[in-house]
Amino acid sequence: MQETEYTIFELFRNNPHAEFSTTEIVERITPGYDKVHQDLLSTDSERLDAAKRRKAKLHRINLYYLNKLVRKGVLTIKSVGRNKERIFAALQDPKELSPAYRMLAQLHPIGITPALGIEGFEEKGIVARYEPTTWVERVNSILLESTYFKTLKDLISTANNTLTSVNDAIALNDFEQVIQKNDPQTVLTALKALSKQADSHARHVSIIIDITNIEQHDAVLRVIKGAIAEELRNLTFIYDVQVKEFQDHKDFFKELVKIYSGAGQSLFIKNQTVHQAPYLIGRTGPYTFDERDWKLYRNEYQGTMPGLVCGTATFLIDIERLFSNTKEHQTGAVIELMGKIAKSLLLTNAEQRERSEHFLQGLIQLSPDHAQNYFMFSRNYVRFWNYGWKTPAYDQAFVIAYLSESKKAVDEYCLSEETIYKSCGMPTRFRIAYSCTDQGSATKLFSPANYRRVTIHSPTDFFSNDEINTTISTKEDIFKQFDGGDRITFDRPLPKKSEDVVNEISYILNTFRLPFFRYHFTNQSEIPLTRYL
Amino acid sequence: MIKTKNAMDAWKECLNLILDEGKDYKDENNRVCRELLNIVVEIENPAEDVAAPIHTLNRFHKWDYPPLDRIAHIILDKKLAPEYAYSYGPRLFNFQNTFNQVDEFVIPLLKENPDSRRAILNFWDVSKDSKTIKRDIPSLIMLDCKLRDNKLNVTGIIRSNDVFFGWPANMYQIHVLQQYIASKVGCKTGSITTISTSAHIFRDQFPYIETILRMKREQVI
Repeated sequence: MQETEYTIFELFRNNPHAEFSTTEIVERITPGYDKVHQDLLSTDSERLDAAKRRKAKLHRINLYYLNKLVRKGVLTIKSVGRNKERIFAALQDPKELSPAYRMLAQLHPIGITPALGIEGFEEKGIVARYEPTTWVERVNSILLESTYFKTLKDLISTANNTLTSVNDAIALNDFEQVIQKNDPQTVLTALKALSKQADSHARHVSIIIDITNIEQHDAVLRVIKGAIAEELRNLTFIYDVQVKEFQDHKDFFKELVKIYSGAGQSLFIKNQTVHQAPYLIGRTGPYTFDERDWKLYRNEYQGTMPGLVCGTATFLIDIERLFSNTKEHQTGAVIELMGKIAKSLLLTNAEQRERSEHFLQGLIQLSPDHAQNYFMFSRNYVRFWNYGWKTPAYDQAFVIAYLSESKKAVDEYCLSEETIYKSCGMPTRFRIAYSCTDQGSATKLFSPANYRRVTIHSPTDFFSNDEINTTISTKEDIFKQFDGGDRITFDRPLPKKSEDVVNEISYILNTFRLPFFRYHFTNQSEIPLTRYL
Repeated sequence: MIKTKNAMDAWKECLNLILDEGKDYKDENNRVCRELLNIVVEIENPAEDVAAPIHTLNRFHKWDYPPLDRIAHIILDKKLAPEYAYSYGPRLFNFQNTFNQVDEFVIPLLKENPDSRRAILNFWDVSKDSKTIKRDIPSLIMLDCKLRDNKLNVTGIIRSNDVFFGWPANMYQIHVLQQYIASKVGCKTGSITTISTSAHIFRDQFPYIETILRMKREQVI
């Protein structure tokens, strides 16, 4: 609901039996309308004309929202007054439980969320809500199925609209099929337009390329090369590859390495053999779906829905700060905090779902039969910052243990709540996933990053450097705890031969159970210590 | 068959019976589930303490049970809330977006023919629910209303009943609806009977169930 629309709605909620003309509504809800009123009485013709124009504009804007509220069944046109001005009143009929009654009775003011019980932790900088201003007005991330849309234009149009439904990221799944069906230049132009739109909304777009479906390497490479050259930095291509098919596409990856290392950009690889569900990247970190959910979705729903919600609401936690406030029983402190967070998310989700009719309107209109299904596989996120991985002060086994124990408690709570709500005839999805926090989201909120980097100089590093292997091995365990997605970044000085990097990637894919990793190419000999991994 | 005067005693007896005589199996979420088939529970006077089981659950402060007015609202509100895959109210008051089973059928029927055996309310929508892929489907599938001795007796059939978490809400909702119909028909509320074709509890609930079974009546009312 837009701000003006909501303000009008509030006016009628506070005066449920009142009738207002358009002029009265404009006067009551426009801040500083007195100035316009004064200018309308002015003898200075310039001021008078400006005031008349301003008044007319305000009437037009308000009429737009008034008519919208009439269409929604919230207001009614009670009569037509002097100068053919319409008189509006709230349409209320509690007995009939009309849409207006439901809204009047249930909708809460924008931006005001219920007391969550974690405010004290927020004050101490231990916990933060991601995008608190749109906390219940948006979801975090949505995956769109490129192949659902008949034309590129339809896909991009929906993607543009969906940017307003999220507060972090969207993804276009199986985008290689779109590239292969269209002229690469047209696709590139469309991506540029989408990037521009994403930029204005400060959102991120993941373009998922399933290597299995690539038949036209040149067309795909042309689009990627163009996007990298255009520096569409809020668009990230994610290459989803199965281990066994990597060799067949080796030349394609060589070209990719050339493109990305040449531009000094990051190459994101997803290992489909380890994790089948797609990964997407937001400004706050990675997102993915639960593997069992994804299997069900693929078997039963894929192809029938334009997309689905991935992340609903996110809490960020600075574990270093939590532990600095809790010297003993640190695992207990995490479990206790997670209990409060889980309760907060339960409240938040209820508010969020109530509003979903509005902010998911575009997707619902595309496929009304699935109106109740968009949240079917969604999860809330708890993202950890400075959680102890590769921090010398922490025993790595302790890190795994506190993550695992607190996750078990959270999962039990979620399952209980789903059961309770389902039993009450209110079946709703309520899950919480763990993941990492991107440095960009954490910098302003939390303690400074204390991770060490993993730098790969050549393929032999994997054989000769025990520290790298130990680090990756721990990361494999953390991936198991971070069921909402995780990533590991390998800093890579610019290679002399792109084949070296391809061999390294092949080794990683074949050897480690890392679902998602990033090769970050840099020509700097010194990589900042704060590099997030 | 369990027959008691009030809801709390019925709940405790039912939990105890499943705990003692149920058979264990693992469900699709890999949880150990203890189940008894076809448990019939009759409560003579549900109005006495119908919310007591819910209050008892809330005493543990471990879960967040929806507030009573919300639970009641769900069975009386004819509009499907966007946050739920289905809900009971629309199934009763706006079945398949066309028919109000309560106000247009059961209430007039009982007014015209108080002895009727046809006052059935159906939650199960074959066109929506009888699909192999569908996971979110009603548990409470049918209510039968019998007006005898100027008292409205209601029987509910629950196909899958988590007796620990679910039955208290089911009982409360049936009672709310019973009150609504009784007030429109102009009669008193009578007994409520639930027939749970799968009555079950989960292993992780056992410690709480044992605590509840040890509670004395005055501790929970």
